[in-house]
Amino acid sequence: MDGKGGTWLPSFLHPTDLWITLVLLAIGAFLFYETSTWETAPPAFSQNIPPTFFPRLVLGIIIFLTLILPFESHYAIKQGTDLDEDRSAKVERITYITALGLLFIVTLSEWLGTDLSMVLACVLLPMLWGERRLKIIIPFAIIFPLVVRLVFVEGLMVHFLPGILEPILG
Amino acid sequence: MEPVIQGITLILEPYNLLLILGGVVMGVLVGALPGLSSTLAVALLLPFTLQLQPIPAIAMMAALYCAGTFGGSITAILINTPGAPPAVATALDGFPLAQRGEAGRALGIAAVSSVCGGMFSLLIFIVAAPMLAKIALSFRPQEYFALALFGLSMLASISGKSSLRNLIAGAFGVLVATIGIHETTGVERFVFSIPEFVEGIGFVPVLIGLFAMAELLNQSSKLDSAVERVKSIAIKLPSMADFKLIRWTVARSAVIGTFIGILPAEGSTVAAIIGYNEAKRWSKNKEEFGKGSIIGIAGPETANNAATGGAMVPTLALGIPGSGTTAVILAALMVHGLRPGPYLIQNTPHFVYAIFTAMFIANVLFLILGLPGAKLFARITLIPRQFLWPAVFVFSMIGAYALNQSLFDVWVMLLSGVLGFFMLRHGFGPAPFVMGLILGRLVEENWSRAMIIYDNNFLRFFESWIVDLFLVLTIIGLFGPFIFRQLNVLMNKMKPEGRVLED
Repeated sequence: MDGKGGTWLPSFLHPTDLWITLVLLAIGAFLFYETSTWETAPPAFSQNIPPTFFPRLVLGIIIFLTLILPFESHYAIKQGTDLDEDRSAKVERITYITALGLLFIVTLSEWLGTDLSMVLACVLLPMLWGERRLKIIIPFAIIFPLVVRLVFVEGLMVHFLPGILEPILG
Repeated sequence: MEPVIQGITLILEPYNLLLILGGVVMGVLVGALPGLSSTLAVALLLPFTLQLQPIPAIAMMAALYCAGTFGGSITAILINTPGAPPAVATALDGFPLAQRGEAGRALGIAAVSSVCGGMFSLLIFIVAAPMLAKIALSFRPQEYFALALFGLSMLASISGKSSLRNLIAGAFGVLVATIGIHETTGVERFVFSIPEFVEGIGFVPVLIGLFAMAELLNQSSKLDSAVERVKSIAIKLPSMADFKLIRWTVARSAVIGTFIGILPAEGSTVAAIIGYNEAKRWSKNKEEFGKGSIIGIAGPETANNAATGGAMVPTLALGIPGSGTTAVILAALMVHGLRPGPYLIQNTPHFVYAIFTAMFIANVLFLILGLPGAKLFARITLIPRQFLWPAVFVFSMIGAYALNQSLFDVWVMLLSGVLGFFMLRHGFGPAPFVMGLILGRLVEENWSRAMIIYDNNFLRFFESWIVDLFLVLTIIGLFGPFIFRQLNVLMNKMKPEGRVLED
């Protein structure tokens, strides 16, 4: 959504920003409610500064600023700034697929272990992005994780999760 | 004098020099790669430095910061693709000059101007940081609160198109900083029954996610974009006449860049844009701009590198980040167990001199390496993105995991990345969020302490002239962009040429 198609709205309201405003206000309202569920500290203990004070103040500022958001674009255009420039193109399918790919790798990483997760990332992501030359992908997926392992495990003493390689790696 | 010698000697150890060299090479390479900014690189470098002593670790990051800012100009000049945002203005005149077969001259001007800007700002840094720290030693919590508030207000004018969105992103950063146990009462806030939230959200996974993962997702749709290349790079170095021509521009931009760098939250990109605009405004040959003017290269290049040294002043002396990258360096200091601010300089004065020396060496090194190696460094753009970004993902995953050796941090990194992608798309920059995250704790801690001291009477804050000063500056910081924009519109109406380059 580029924000220019919402004819049902007055021209000074930006449709995309209106949606963002609604989302931010919903988040703000939820977080505000969340602050009411916190334990209360006795005034003497909290020295009259309850733990809710600062988060609520920040939430109030966020809500106030967010309420201006749908009108900003209209004002910015008058000033010669196009706030839609970076979002005029739709998010491409490959971006969603990449995000899902990353999610898939991280989800499997506990079971696979760190080493195999790196290998998976080095195979899956280039292939998702259209690379088909196995003679490059395979050496990359072997050598790069090995180098990373060498640097972090041997050099920086980071413990990698063994995952399904536990019988081999110990 | 002893801390000076101690700091310099420490940095001159071969191992530390090697780390600085590594930082410079990495910085130039990363700076040259479109999409990989020095902020991202410093965030990714952080986990690698965990086993190092704090001084070599921060020295390496500072070296990367200096070199990364220059590195962006190489690809801006050679292939019209600014490797980093601060080099955007450099491409305007750098690439046309390179197309005329004078790439070497353009690179030479960029390198020398960068070094001049960097060196000048370092001189200011070494004088100003201890002085500022000395003043800050007398700060009480209420003054620190006002200072941090001022830092937050500067988010309104940090680079980006929208002050409002910067402030909202910054406020969300402040809110995220409140996650965990409340210092005064021990009450758990925004924990949502997630045990890992009790300790608060770690800086490192959020930084890596916002800067690296968000950019990875952004780059996924740019896989097929081709870059225009200069066919042959004739290495013709700038002449004495060239240096004579740019000397006043360099001097002016060095002052502008350093000043902008010192302002909390302002960074190299803003400095470069103002440096370019001012170079054009003062030039007698305005019509040459955009066609390969060497002044158009010198202006932004001097200013963006001058901002690096300038940005280190508030970072080290006050604990208030001077730019997005120094926000990451500030987080690195905390991860290394140091508390940035006046006490750092008072208790370990050699630290400042060591960082100064490291940045000085970095400036010399990128001049030595950057110019003859420019052609080689530019070749890094030949690495297919299909392999480059998966490598960035692997580093991000391991980097987020390494600090606490926790998979939870990898999830935080990934979610921050997805969030960062959508934030970036809708104009909410990651840098304001990170600033908010870092300054949020400072604001709340000092607010609470000051309120306790003043028995909950906020009006007593105004008894301090420092608080008054910072609150006035905060108001200017918040409304300054609006006022300056109105003034700009007014001036444009009076002057037919209009604006030169918009941020």
